[in-house]
Amino acid sequence: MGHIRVGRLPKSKPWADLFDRLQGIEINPAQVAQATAEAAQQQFAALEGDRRINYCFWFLVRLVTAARGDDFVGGLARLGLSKPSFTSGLSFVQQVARNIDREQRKRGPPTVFSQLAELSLRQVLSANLVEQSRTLFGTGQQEIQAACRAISTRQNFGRVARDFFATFMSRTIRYLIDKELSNYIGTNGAIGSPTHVLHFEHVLDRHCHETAKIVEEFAGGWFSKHDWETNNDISENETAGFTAFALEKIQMDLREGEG
Amino acid sequence: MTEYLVLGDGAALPADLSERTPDLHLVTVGKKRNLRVQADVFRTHLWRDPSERLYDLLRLAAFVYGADTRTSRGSTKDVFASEWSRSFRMVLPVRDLTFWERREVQDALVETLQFLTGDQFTFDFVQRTPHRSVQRIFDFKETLGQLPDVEVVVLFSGGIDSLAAVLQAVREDRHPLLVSHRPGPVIDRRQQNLVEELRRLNPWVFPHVSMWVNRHSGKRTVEFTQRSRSFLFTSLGVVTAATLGIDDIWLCDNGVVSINLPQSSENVGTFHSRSTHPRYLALAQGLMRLVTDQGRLAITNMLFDKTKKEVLEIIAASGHPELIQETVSCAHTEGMTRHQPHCGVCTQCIDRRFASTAAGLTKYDLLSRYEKDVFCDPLREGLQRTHAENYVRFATRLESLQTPDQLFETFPELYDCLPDDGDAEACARVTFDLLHRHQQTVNGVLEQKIQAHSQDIRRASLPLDCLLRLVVSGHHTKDRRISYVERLRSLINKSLPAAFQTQPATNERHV
Repeated sequence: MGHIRVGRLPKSKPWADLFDRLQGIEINPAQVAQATAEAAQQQFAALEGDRRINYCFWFLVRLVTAARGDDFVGGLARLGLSKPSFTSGLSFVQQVARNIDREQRKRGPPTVFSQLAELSLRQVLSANLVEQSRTLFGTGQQEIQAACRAISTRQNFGRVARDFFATFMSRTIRYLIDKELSNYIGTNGAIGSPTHVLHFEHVLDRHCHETAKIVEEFAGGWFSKHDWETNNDISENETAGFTAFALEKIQMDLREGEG
Repeated sequence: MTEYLVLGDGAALPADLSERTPDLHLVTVGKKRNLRVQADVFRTHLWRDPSERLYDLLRLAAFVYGADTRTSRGSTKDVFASEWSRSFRMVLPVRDLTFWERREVQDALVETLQFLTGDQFTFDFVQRTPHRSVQRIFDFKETLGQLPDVEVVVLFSGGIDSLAAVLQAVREDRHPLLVSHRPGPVIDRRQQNLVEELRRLNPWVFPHVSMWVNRHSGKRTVEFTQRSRSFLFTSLGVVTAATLGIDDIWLCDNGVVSINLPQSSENVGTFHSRSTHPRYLALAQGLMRLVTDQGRLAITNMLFDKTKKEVLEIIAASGHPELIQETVSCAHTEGMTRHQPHCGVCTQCIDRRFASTAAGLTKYDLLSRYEKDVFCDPLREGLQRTHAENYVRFATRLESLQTPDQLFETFPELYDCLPDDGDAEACARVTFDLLHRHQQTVNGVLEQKIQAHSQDIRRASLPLDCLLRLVVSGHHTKDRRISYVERLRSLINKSLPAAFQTQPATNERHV
């Protein structure tokens, strides 16, 4: 392995509850998420106005609206994706990733959170475009556009928006607790082995997904309304409000505990 | 984000910066030198001078390396890594100003460095004062014939992977020239020893260009993550290759290290190094083609489709597996002894132990050369346990992924490895196969070790916090009441001595 920087959480008061949760004889992902969200409340609150995170969501919005229109290539070019290659879903997501990385830098230097948001978007696009754009006769513009367009229905957009925000929150929480988890394996606590950690993370992901249910309900309606009002031209500023709402709501629910 | 103003070799500050005092002044020439750049190595080893532009590249890479190592990325206690990414405004003197001021050159330079280091870079180039010409000792045209017929430049760190690359070149009859960076005497000695061994065992002469670039004086090294070192290393290789008119440069690491996927969720972006990452190599190649005007210059990782175990097998197949013991992989160069050069618990050591065990080459990678046995010795809380556990967890996670699509969805970082043009699906398949073989190696070694220590495990005679115990611990399946009692016992054991430290217990009731 190359060099890897790892750190630890401070043994200060805000994190005490999380340490208690990790060393308990039972480990409950909802309580761990709650303790983490409490401890990092200030930093999490700042995410609501983060332009780089909002950019990721805005890109998702514009990608699906571009797929709805007649000029998909033109729509992509307006997002910064000029001369995209449509040879495979993988290659398309790769180009999107490069573009987002470049555009995010214009909105500020990279932070842990901006990178986690970008990874979350990649993950969501990967799950929704790669396999969906494959046909027996290969992949082309038509297939990529169809896969993107499939997300643009009210119901599907709600689902994908929920996936994006849930993945982002889950990655953010795991970023923090993974600084300590290894130290609690097999030490008379509830985590027996690395396999058990993977299981725990899986349940934590599910908990974040459950917590983000409200986003799904709201996102579909929000998208339909704004897309119609703006005639397929939702601006970055307009998504900022939704991004802030989604993040605030998920964090609030995480802090409240059982989702 | 704080912007650090870095000045190179007393360059004049541009008008918009004239009010500012540089945060760092790096000097490579004269009496006030604080950064050693042994640029004359090309005269002494290759008997020729690189072009002015190549000299610029060399100093530029050294300045970036100097700024990187003398500017802190913040402590590991900085939970949200707010100081990890830095912003550098570099004011540097160059000889070929027209070239370095070209937009495409600056864009390529900045993109390459940003991807490699995660930092922001802005360059202001100014004309370097013409230097005093040095008397030429040789008539270059006449001495050209003294160099052997080199076909490929191999960047040689003295580790297992670069040794395998050298042996691979020999096997392909490619006549390699080795280029090394000498950051300090310990690593230098190891590299020289290994080259001597190679010369002894092979008919090829292995020309070796080894260049000092390190701190000479002044501000101490405060940052040891050295994300920019690969750029310096690449530049050394490129300057050598271009000076000799060679197109092929090998910068090799096994594929798993090259991709260096996050082993846990706390590894984000450049928290894990990208020294030979496919995207870095592609970006560096684009930049270096501009610098050298060599349109066919190629910077290649010949070991990309190999796991560490397979890399060791290349060395074994050369007929000289004993060379393995001359290589050092450990991340800690300071404080290790010659007889025990490996700490055993850094990521590099862990990977090496697993690979040599899997390849059946432990005879040439003796346990006694490791300070700690990662499998059976107790792992201290913090770095040691985190690295070992994450390594195993990563392999377990890979084991559960059945297709390239699943792999890319779980690790979207992999999109950075896909080529800009080329068959993404084929590349994804190669990557999947590589990581699949890696997890088979790691999980196979664990099974082998568990079997070998089955008696110790049954008797619970291994330390509770050694890797094997962590892996096989079925603690979560224990009766919770027993866990509770054990937890109480451990708390009492820990707190009672402290409670009676100043006043001894008077009776049982008191306790």
